[in-house]
Amino acid sequence: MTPAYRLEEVGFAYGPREVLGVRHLEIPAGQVAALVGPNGSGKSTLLHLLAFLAAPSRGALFFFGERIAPDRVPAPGRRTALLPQNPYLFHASVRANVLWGLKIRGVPPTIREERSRYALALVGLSGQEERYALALSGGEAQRLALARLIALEPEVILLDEPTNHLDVETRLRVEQALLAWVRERGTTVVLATHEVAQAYRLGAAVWQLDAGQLRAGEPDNVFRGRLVPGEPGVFDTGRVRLRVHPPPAPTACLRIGPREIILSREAPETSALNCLAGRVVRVELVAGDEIQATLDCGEPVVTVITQESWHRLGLAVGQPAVASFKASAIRPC
Amino acid sequence: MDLLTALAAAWRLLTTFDPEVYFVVWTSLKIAAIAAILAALAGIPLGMALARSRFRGRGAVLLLLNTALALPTVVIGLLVYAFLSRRGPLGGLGLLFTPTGVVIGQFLLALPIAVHYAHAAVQGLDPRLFLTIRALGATRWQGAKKVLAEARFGVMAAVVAAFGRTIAEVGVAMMLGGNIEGFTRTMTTAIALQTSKGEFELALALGLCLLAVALVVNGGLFALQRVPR
Repeated sequence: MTPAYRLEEVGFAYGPREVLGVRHLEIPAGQVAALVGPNGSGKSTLLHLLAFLAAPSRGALFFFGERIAPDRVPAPGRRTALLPQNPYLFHASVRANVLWGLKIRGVPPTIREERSRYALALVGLSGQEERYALALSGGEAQRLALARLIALEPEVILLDEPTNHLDVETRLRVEQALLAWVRERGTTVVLATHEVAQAYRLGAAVWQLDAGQLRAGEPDNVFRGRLVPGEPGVFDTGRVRLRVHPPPAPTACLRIGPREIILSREAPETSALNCLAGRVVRVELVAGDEIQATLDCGEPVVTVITQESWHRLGLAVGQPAVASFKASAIRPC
Repeated sequence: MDLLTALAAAWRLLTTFDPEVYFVVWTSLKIAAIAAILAALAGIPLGMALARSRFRGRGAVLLLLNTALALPTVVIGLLVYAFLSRRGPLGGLGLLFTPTGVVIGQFLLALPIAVHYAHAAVQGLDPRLFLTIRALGATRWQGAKKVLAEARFGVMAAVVAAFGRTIAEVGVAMMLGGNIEGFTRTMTTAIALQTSKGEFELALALGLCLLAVALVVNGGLFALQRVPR
């Protein structure tokens, strides 16, 4: 199947400074793909390139197999639609916000209304049509912005941190609405997020961006929390406590690679100081011959093991499992 | 004649709907409104473009614009007079001492004001608006219309402020209109003339009308600026 996007040696520069470099990237069509990276890693820039809001300063960009020439970049927002970080809502009603994008496309009024109703229902904003958009809460505003995109029925939806600043419940609702949409329409979604867990929850394919460079391989598990005062080497995320050695300088973020984690059915008798008990929530074949298993241990933990190990363990989704790793394998972000 | 009797006489002129008074008021409103609307039609797109484009010499343009805001009416009157007078480049059109002549002068007077207000209104918009408009797939023209809609209060203020300037000025109306009775006599030129003749009743009556217009205009501006955004 033709990928939605193919990027070869693509770079983007502000003046002399290149802020993004992608040697090779293929984004499959009809799936959710996730780009993970901290703030300022180039995620937004890459999304802007994919939305045709900016043209790459070098390299080749293919869109559904078609080479996009730098001088013939498609109009942004026609086949693709971007949800910017912190989207702007028009000073108008909820309904008018959704309708505008359809109106400028010349969609007939009856179809406009239909699509707007459908999109608002999908994000759970039915019955709020006449409210003033600026009177919405943060979560409602974000969902409205998403509905505004969905109503356009683009081939590709690009989402820049779509659930930033949302509470957990709203976040899950937005994610579910999104997944429902993708399944129903076969829309391609590219999601940029700093949350590794969200990337794995939604993304069939996950890439990591670091300082403007796309990195091969899967992103690290990231734990946010704080070092416990008085207990050197203990890091508390609010849901799990981790042991880290040597005790790092005060940090709010620790990471560990998914291959550095040992998966077992029961707590093993090893030297590993970190043993997180949980349940397998997701299993997937990655890179052809490896298994990526996601555990819910209070915090989501992503592990990658060989197929052989997986079959020896005989684990399945829903079963209890333990993720263990050495205190010295954890690094500050 | 003391002020009080003059005021009473002025009040009588207004309440008996003296045709001379109201004709002058009508002429004034008509000329000022046409000039302000034309200035808004030309100035609002210019102000929007100025707010959104980046080019060499933009700073100089903004400086000139701010200077033009303070341009004395008599200077505009003088310049336009030079163009419209019989020996001027546009003398053949015969526009000097006609309402059209006054409209041209007042248009030039109000144009910088309209540009300034529209520029400020668009400049003050949330920068995320422009990205959102593009991301939703608007063409330039569709985007500009949306920007105008989002900046609507500031843009309306541009029209109101332009009208406030044209209705209250005297220099242009005097120099280009010539204060011809029943033709180009406006409230301000009439007040100047009647006062110099010592006929305070009519001057005061018109002054009251002008004050009422100023009150309405500024009330409008005040209301626009207080609209929650």
